[in-house]
This record gives sequence, structure tokens and C-alpha cells, in this order.
Amino acid sequence: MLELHINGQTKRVQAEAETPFIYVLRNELGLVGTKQGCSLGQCGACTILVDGKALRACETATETLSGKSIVTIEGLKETFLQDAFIAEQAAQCGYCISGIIMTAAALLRTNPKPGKQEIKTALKDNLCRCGTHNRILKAIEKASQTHSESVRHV
Amino acid sequence: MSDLAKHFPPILTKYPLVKSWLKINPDNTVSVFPGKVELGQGIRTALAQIVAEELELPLQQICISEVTTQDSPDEGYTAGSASLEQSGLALRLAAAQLRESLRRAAALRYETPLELIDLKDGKVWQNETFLCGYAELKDWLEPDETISGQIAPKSPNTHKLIGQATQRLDILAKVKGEASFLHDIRLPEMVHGRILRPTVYGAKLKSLDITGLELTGLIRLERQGNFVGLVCQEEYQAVKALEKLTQRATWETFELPHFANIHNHLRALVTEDVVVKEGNPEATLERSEKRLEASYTTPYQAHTSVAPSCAIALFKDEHLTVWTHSQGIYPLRRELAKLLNRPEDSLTLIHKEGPGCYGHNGADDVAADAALLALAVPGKPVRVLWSLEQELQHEPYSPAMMLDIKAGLAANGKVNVWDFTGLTDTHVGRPGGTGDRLRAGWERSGTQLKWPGPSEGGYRNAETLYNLGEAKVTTKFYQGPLRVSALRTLGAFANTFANESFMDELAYLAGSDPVAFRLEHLDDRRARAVIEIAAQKANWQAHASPSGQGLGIAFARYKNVKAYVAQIVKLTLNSETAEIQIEKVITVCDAGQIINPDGLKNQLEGGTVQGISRTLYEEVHFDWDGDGMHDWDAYRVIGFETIPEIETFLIDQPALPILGAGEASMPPMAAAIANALYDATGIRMRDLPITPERIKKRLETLSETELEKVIL
Repeated sequence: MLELHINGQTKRVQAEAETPFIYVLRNELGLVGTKQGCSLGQCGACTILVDGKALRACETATETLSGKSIVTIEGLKETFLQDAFIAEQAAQCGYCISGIIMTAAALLRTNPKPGKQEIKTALKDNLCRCGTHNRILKAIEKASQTHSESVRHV
Repeated sequence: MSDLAKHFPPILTKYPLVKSWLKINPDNTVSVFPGKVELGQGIRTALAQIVAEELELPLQQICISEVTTQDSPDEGYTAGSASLEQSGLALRLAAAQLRESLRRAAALRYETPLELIDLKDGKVWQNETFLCGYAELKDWLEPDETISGQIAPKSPNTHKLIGQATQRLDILAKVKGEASFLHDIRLPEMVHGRILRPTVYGAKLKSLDITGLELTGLIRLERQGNFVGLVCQEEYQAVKALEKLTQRATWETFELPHFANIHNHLRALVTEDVVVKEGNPEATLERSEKRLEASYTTPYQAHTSVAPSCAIALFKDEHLTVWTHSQGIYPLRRELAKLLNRPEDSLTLIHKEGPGCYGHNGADDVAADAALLALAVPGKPVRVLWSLEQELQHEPYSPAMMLDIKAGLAANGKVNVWDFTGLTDTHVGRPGGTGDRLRAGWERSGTQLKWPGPSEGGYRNAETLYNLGEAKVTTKFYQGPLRVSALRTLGAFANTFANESFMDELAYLAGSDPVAFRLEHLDDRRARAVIEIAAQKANWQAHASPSGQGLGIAFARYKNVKAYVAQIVKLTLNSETAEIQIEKVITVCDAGQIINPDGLKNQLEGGTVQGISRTLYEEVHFDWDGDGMHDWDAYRVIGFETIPEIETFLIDQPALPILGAGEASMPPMAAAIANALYDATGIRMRDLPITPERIKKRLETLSETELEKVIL
């Protein structure tokens, strides 16, 4: 039995220690917002935040997360990012979006106002096959601008 | 009769009743039952707009039902940029009929002259006096009202929703990470299946020794011929079990031709010719002032959804229910019924969204896998998910193509003869009721997939809209070594790459500007308009030899009857690495009446990006023994780092019929890039993908006259 801190809650999970976290998240905890893509750490669909950093749930053994703070799309505080994706209509099939929003959230935590090239670099290992890239880039750029402005005004 | 009613959709002959398409609910919402499915293209949003518009309902009061074989009309496949043209028109006529029925019902109930009854904001009014909601008129409506096609849809100048950028109905759930996809469904007592398949292309199971094999959580190991699947209690148990099982299998290798030389190999396999357009080019070619010929090739390419295919099946009380992200639940039901030797009505298929598929990928195959395992484990829902490796190797590919064109120019510099010969495998291997189209089927029976034979997809856009004098178009079909089927635009991508590249080559041969040269050969006003606007937006400067600006244009009207698209690419070539960097793409589209401009733009942008990816990177490649396609490293696709700026311009034609546009921006993309590369460097690339290695190799093989034109 492992104890995990996820989205501000403590959860005990039955899964064996080496089980890739994606299966624990989606099957045992019922948090299906983290999408399963390649299962090889190549596509970014399953990106989560662990102690604020972007991590691939498919290549992370569950035991290594013990004592760390895990955030999934369901518990993401940066809802302004999601608002920006809606404003830009930045989705087609939408399967990659949750992982991309999590990658963007990790980026904005270390670099609150990234340039377009910095956003592109941060997303270099996130795949989108529908070709929604420009809307996604615009959504993240706008989200960072409006958010950093609102923070400054406060 | 209105123009729209003149185009009475054939589907309404099969489903003529309003209630097959629309249902008024007690809470005054309206349920819509489309037969077309959401593939990420935004069809549900556009259909909701159409129905809300005709019924004078707020968009929030429209509920688009899921597509199932229980409740939905059989509209076949959601494919070919046909959904808005067909399903959209059917629903528009159904909603117009219901609107008039509601008015008549209100007139009857309130004993009021019909002309005083108005529908507005989802309510019924007499002049400005509120009468009732739609639901209250239910008993006054004819229950089996037929869609006559005689009720004119609303006039475009009264539209409030159609033509307005409308937020996608599905986006909130998707950005919040809700259970939007089939992959996210967790049914009570659900168990997990995986399928044993070779890790190299085409190999056959030779032996499987399971002596002493212990698999944790195993519920069932099912073997029928060479179909082997397992079912475990937990998903990760199934993953581990499959790894162990794979180690116990030996395979008989399927020998493949050398991919370095694949096109020459395929040329020898031609079995059937289709003459698309009759003509006698030979004599005119002899007489032409100038002559040119060129051959173009495109590789096998894959759909490569962002995630592998998935299905869930449940066999209970002699009934099989399958949740699938197939593009066609009715054709798949017919196929499964035949494969499983069960009556069609003992199967229910329910469509759930999957990752974007862009055509016929593994979605149908995995549904058969899940069905076979569910039959072996009655009473429990069995979820089967392919691995990425399985998706990359076992999905049907888009066939490699070869396009040979000869043409001549008359003394006036115009094309007077054109002889196009395409070579392709078939583009349609979809399931539909023959029982032999799904992988599990031929593994089980030891049979081979029967070659589906030539079909339209191979010569899609082989003909052009240009006036080309004595023109002949032939497409030869080969039976290739790889399983193939429909990938977004089918043959139109390769055919347009060749046609539009060759038009550029001819323009330069004629000493003409590529834009002017195209316009000289085009009568169609809408075709001319998209080209002219694109040139204007790109600030195109006329030039009759490579200008060094790196601008290239291409045009196609998808299927020659759907949306018109012209694209201009601006790019640079890194002379050190030979890498192409596309800086900007301008797309101009005339898709007739636009329902959701933002949805249309999203689709056009997506097709543009996918078109760039197919032009610069994508290529299925195997070693002789089928080794090669294991993960994303083996099949490069475009990523965020090289995404260019894309500007998309729409020409709205509110009074004209809708023209399908879901695929329209992909066909011109490859030629626009190749033409821009030529404009930038003087290097003409005729083989896709245009990789740095190919560019370097091409430079080595240029003739002296060609080398003189190179600007690097």
C-alpha cells in the first residue's frame, strides 16, 4: 500500500510499487483527465506535475512518487490556462490537450512570460496530430500575458 | 422549390421521417440524431448550429445524441468531407419541416391564423404574445411527419447562428480533462485485454509454447488459429502478461521489398488500368512547341493517431455491445456480424470519440479484437488497447504512389496537351460486411486480406480544373505488399502534388509567372478568385524564373467538386543542413456557405499542418524483414518547434450550397512547398518526403543546365 499526495489530497493505492503511474491514475484513482498516449514517454499526452515539474506518468513508477506533490489536470490551479484554450478554440480531437496544458503550466511556473520560441521549445516533446499547434501556442502566449498582467495589478 | 430542396439528400429517402432525426424533449430541448460521428472535426457543433438556426432555438437547447446502431440513422462512414453537405442538409430540411409543423400545430391549438404564429428564442408567439414552449405542442404534432423537402430552409440573410464563429460544444470537457474519449470509459467489472501480434511487419505466428507460463491476473488466454488474445483483471497485468507471452512466440518472417527502391518494385506489380479521362495526347505532343515530362513519387504513409486504438465489448444475454471510435458504426456492425457469424441485430455498436484518426486506422480492427475476447469472457466488459507499436505496424497505410506526367506547350505558351499516368494501390480497404477486412479475422482463419481492387480514391484529383488541351488521365493500380486503406484525402494528396508541381515546371518552361500561368488555364471564377486573393495576400511579385523569395503557390478544388483552396508557402532552405524552414502559409478557401467560420479555419489549419508533415517528414519504412516501425522515433511527424505561421482567409458564400472542406487544405500543400523550394533555390524536388538527405542527393544528380539555375 502506497500513500500519495495528489491534487491536495492523500490517497492510498493498492497497485504494486513498479506499476507505471498512468495505470494507477486512470484505473485505480479514476482520474482519466491524464490521457494515455504512446506509453513510451514520447508523446506527452500523460504529462502531470510532480513537485511543480512536468513528468510523464507512463514512464514513472508509482513508488517514486511517494512523498511528492502530484497535480493532474483535474487539480490544476492555473485555470486561466484552460480559459485561454477555450478562448482560442485550441482543440480539434483534443486528446493531446490535457498533457499540453500541464506542460504549459510547468513552463509558466518557472518562466511566467515566455516568448513564442520558448513555448515552442517547452512543447517539443508534446505531439499534436490534428495540427492545432498555432492555436495552442497562441492560447499559452495569451494566458501568460493576461495572467502576468493580472498578477501585477494585484 | 428552393435551391437547397432541389439537392434532396438521398439519405432522406431512407430515413424520411422527422422523428428519425429530431425529437422535442419535455424540457423544451431538442435531441438531434445524426449518423455522422465526431472525429475532432467539430461536426457536432456545426450540426447543432444548423438545427438551432432552423428551429429558432438557442444553441444551448440542442442535445446532439451519441451515434449508435440503436438510435441513429445509418449514414455509412464519416469520411470524404461529406458530413456538412449531406448530413447537414438532411438535418436542415428536417428542422425546417419541424419548424413549420410546430407553427401549424400552434395555429390549430390556439385557433389562430398560421401567418400570425412565430417561433423565436425557442418559444411560440402570436404576434408579440407568448403562447407556449415547443414541448407543449407535442400532442398536436403529426407523430410520423415526413420530411418533404418542400419547406424552404431559412433565408441566409435571416441567419443568426449560421455563419457565426461558434465555440465547440466539446471543448470545455476536453480542457478540463473529463472523460471525453472511449479510452476513458471505465465500466463496472471491466477487464483488460491485449492481443499477441508480431513486432515486425507481416510476420505470422509459427509457434507459441505456454508450458509453465504463469501470468498474474489472467482470466482467459484465447487462441483461435493465429489470433491470440489474453484477458486480465487489471490493465497493467495484461501489459506484463503480453510481454511474457510475446517472449514465448516465434514468428515466420514476411519478406518485404527493399524500401530504398520501393517505387520501382511497385511499378512491376500493376494489374489494372482505369482511364479517368479519354484522350489522344501522342499526336499533339509531337506537334507541341515545347515538351516536358516528369515523374513524382510519394511514400507509404501512416495515420499515426496521437494514441493507439481502443475498443470495449460486452457479451451478455446473447447480445454483443461494442464501444468503438470507428468512422462507421453500421458498416463495422455488418463486418462484425459476418466475421462472428451472428445476426446483425444481436450486435449494438456505440460510437465514442477517439484520438483524431484522419481515416481508416486501427479503430475497426481493435473492435474485432475486443469482440472476440468478449465472446470468450461473457458477462464482463473487455477493454482492448493496442500498443503504439501495434498501431504503427498494423494500421492500414496510405499507399505509395507514382505520378508520371508529359505535357506540351503551344506556340502561344499555353498547355495544348497533357498526359497523366498515376500508379497506386487501392485507397479503400474499409470493413463493410464481407467479413474479411479485419485483422483478427484473417489471423483466425489463416486467410489473406483479399485485394479490394481499384476505386475512386486512387484517381481523386488526378484530373484538374485547368484547360489543358488534349488531356488524358490514366490511373494504374498495383497490388502492393502492404495493407492499405483511406488516409485523409486518399490519392488527392499525391495526385495534386504531381499536377501542381508540374504546372509550376510548365510555367517556367513557358517563361510565365506561376500565378499568371495558372489563371491563363482556368475559367472557373471561384477557382480564379482563391488564387488571386492568395497572391494578393502574399504580395506575390510576378516572376518567370526562381526569384529567391521562396514563395510557392498551389491550388486544388478537393475532388473537383468540393471546397476550393489556394495556398502560398514562404520558406527558406538552410544551405548548411539542407533543412527547410517554412516561415508562413497563406490559405484561401471558398467552401460555399460557411456554418462555423472558426471551425472551418481550425480544420483548414489542421490540414495545412498535416500536409506540411506529410511533405517534409512522414514515410513508412521497413527493412526486408519488416523491422522498423516501433515508436515515434521511427515515424517522424511535425512538432511544435518547426510550426510556421499560418494565415487562413475564408470567402463566405451564404447563398450557395455548402462545400465539404474537412480535407481541402491538404492536397495543395506538398506542391506549394516544392514550388516554394524551387523559387528559393532552383532545386526541383519530385519525391516526398522532401528531407535534407533527399535535397543533398538531388543536388549531386543535377544536370549542368539545372545546376546553373541553383541559387544557394
